[in-house]
Amino acid sequence: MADIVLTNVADGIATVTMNRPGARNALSLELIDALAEAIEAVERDATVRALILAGAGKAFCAGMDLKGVMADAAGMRRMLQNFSRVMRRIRRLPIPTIARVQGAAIGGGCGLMVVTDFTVTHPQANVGFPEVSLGLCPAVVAPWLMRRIGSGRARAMLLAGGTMTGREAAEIGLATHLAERDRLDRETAELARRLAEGGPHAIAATKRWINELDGSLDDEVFERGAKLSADVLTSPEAQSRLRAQFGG
Amino acid sequence: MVEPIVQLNVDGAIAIVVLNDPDHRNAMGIAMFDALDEALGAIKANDDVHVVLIHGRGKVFCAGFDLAAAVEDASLMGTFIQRLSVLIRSLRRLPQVVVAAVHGAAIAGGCALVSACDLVVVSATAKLGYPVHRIGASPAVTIPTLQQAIGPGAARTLLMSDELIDAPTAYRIGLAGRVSRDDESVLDDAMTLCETIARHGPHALRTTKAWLNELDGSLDDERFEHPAESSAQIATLNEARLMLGAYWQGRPQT
Repeated sequence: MADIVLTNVADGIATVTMNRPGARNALSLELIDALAEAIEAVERDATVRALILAGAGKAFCAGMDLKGVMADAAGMRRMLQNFSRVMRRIRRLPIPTIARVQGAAIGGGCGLMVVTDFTVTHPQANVGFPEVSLGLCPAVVAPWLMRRIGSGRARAMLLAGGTMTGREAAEIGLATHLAERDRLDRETAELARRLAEGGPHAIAATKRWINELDGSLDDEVFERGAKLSADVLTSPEAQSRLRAQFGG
Repeated sequence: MVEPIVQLNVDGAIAIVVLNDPDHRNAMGIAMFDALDEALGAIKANDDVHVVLIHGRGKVFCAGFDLAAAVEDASLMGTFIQRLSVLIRSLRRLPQVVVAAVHGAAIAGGCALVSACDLVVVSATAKLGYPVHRIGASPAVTIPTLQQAIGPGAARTLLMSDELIDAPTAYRIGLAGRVSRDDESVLDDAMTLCETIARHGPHALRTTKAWLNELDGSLDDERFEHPAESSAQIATLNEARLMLGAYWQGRPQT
């Protein structure tokens, strides 16, 4: 069986690829934990100057894989906690990070797309947070979304639910860069190469300071977000809506 | 029968609040504040309501404070500011999602109301902003919600400019999330949005809104009280009284 997360390091650029294309890279507990390990390895590798976070196949990431933990409240909690931790780990890497988003980034997948420093997507991509329509609460990703697009737009986006195109995402700052689909890989690599040229100490200091200023180091907030999402996920409202969705 | 100055219509999961004083461009005076407080109180207590639509009858959404009354009684400006501070907190902390449908204009206090709503739909021809330094008033009461809505940089520019902005600008800076074709379509567009939200999980919506309020400082009374108190104080100064009087005398007669 192929590895569920692939890491490739070349010319100082690490590409970490979620590799469950058959499930549109839905975030199972196994995938989340493998992602955490891969990020940890990047953290330890002093030769890496930039990270590209990617998804194999047609979609970047379809969101949390809830089907596997539907009957398991403890499993759901663990999944959200671990997801929250891996997002923090990505945020706090001392190197520039880029999400390369093709196809779709939904819910938790869209969370991964906003926690990085940069996001490159294409105009036809489908991204957003439709959680509330399933009776779910996107609390675990809300703090990261607010830091990317501001609290007003985050409020409107999370409460309205639904998704938007990559073009719209770039318009409101949800994505930082837009490339045509057939140029997405090349332009992301080009951006990574450019970012990797900066002085690593200077970049680490800048990033550390931005993280400190915008509250990205505040573990308590992120733990609370994960807990709130888990509380709502295990509520009767969410469970009955999910059963209707999955036909369980 | 006299029509109420604020109408509240509840239809299933959607409550519609109408500012209903079109002859005075829905200016906010004591009666309007009382009626809005009452309407929001009723909505808050109604667990069947999941989303609230707020709009204005007549040519504009809301032209701000009732300046005619403030010219008559100089103590009223301070009262209006304090009442507005309470009102925008109530709107923000309402457990339900609040959608504003803005046509014509949302000026000063009217724009502060808009800044406190969760989602804002504006007509392509609407004008918004805080042109109040010219009457010796400070728009500081809106800062807590305006900064959250559009970020501190854009809030600084908008408040210090003392000018109105158009709908495309409001969209670009994030004060509005959607722009409707014209004044006639904005209410339908906002209603469609409300219907979508009303289908979402109500418990999920409430938890999400409460969490956003916690995250962005909407529950921090001090953030709201301090600017309200200081701008109410400014409104008692002679400068404010004289400038408001001069503005009122020289205003275009309509």
